[in-house]
Amino acid sequence: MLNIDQITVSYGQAPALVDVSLRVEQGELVTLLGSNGAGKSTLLKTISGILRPRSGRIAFNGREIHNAPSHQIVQAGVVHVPEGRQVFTDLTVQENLRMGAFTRRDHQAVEHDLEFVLKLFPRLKERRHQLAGTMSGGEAQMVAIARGILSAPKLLMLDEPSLGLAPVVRADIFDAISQLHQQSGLTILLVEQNAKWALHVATRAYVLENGRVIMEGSGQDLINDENVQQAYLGY
Amino acid sequence: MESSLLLQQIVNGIILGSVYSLIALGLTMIFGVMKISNFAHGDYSMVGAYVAVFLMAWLPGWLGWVGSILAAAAVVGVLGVVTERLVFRPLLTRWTDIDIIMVSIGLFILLENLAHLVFGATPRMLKDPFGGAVFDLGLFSTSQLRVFCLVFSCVAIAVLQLFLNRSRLGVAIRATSQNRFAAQLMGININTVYTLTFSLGAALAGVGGVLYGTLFAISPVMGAIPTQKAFVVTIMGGMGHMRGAILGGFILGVAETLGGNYLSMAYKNAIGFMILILVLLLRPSGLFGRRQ
Repeated sequence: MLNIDQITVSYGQAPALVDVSLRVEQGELVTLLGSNGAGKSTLLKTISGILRPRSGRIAFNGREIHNAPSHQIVQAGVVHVPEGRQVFTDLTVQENLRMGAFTRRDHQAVEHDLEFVLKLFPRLKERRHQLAGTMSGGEAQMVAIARGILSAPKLLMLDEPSLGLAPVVRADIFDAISQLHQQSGLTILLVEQNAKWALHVATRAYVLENGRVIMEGSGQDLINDENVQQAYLGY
Repeated sequence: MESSLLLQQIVNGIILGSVYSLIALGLTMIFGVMKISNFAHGDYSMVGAYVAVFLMAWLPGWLGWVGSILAAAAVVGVLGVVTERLVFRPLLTRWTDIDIIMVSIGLFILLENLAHLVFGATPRMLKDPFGGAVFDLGLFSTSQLRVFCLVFSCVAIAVLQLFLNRSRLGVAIRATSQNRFAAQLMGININTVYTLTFSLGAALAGVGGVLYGTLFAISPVMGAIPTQKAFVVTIMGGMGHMRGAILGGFILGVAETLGGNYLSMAYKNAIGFMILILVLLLRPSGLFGRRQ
């Protein structure tokens, strides 16, 4: 579904990603591990067309997207839920969700998806008319994910969805992500600092270090790997 | 007698303020979405006013007035697109805010001199399409034209608010001004939003210019005043805040007319800046702005 072929991305002179190749197949949940500054967010931003690779190719369902403007990439079905939620603080929850559906014309399906996300996150239903900026971190994260689902993703990219959340709320978010993958069959590319859980739910996983992919395998393989255990699982 | 004079002044101030609001709304919208402080903004008003001068010479009365407003919105809207594309867009990603301010001052000088060349230096007045008819309500009176100005500004402000709050594109404009990055991830084409916002903001100044021209003389150098007023109003209301700009416009209009009458007419234009200094000292993020 998503094929990344040897992309290199730089901020000015500083290289952020070097010859990174990665693929995500239909129905997979692929986890991307890596320490701070390893280039995970850079990779997601490059996929969604916010940053441009200096070399290499990105193809989605056979179509090259690495030179496409970001709005076309969203329309193609690649949806990015960014780190730090990035909700529209002065819009209501409902307006935020509607912005998720900005590119869509299939109004009935949008209404259907709206119902779906309000079932997935019942708390948002009560707060539909509240400004998103007045919500707690966990609620804002729910808005961000729900908004992403309203973009009708074929591939949903989640960047650090549990960052800074209290354990109870984090469990809610994890449940929702598992549900999206297992019950709704959504293809997900996940960047998550809670490596134990992220590897556990993953079909496959990659480890990114200093802008390079240094390891790749099934979730279980990586859980059993000594280096991964030391660096990310804290054994 | 005293209270009727006061009332009269307040009414005049509200009418003037509605025009300030309209022009400042354009400025604050452009700033909110694109972070451009455009010092050439008042020149859009100047161009709008000249559109009215020529159109009203052709079409007298009513039709000329309404037609002027529509034509000013269209002409200045297009001018907004042209300046956004040719002047501001190429600078947005690479230049700093100060650079962009300098460029906008350059644009201001350019437009002013072009206007000198094309329209000549002689100041012009717009004819009153109502032949100077007056509304007399006992306590105060005002010309029908001025009442029309007020009604029209209020309608324009209300329509703009409806557009920004209810329409998909309007909400996208607000979303972009709040979080450009997230807006891109929603599939909003930022460049389209920029062009639309700039064009709309300029058109508001253009329409404001026609209304301004019904109150004051029209000349190539008139643009500086609406620019100054719009900046005072925008900073007073909080840069990028719509409601702040609306309320700020009315506050400035009333403060100026009252100050002009009870303090000194000579200081009328200084009053705005006194308010500006006070706001910057006491509440730097503006009346509606969030404290940092």
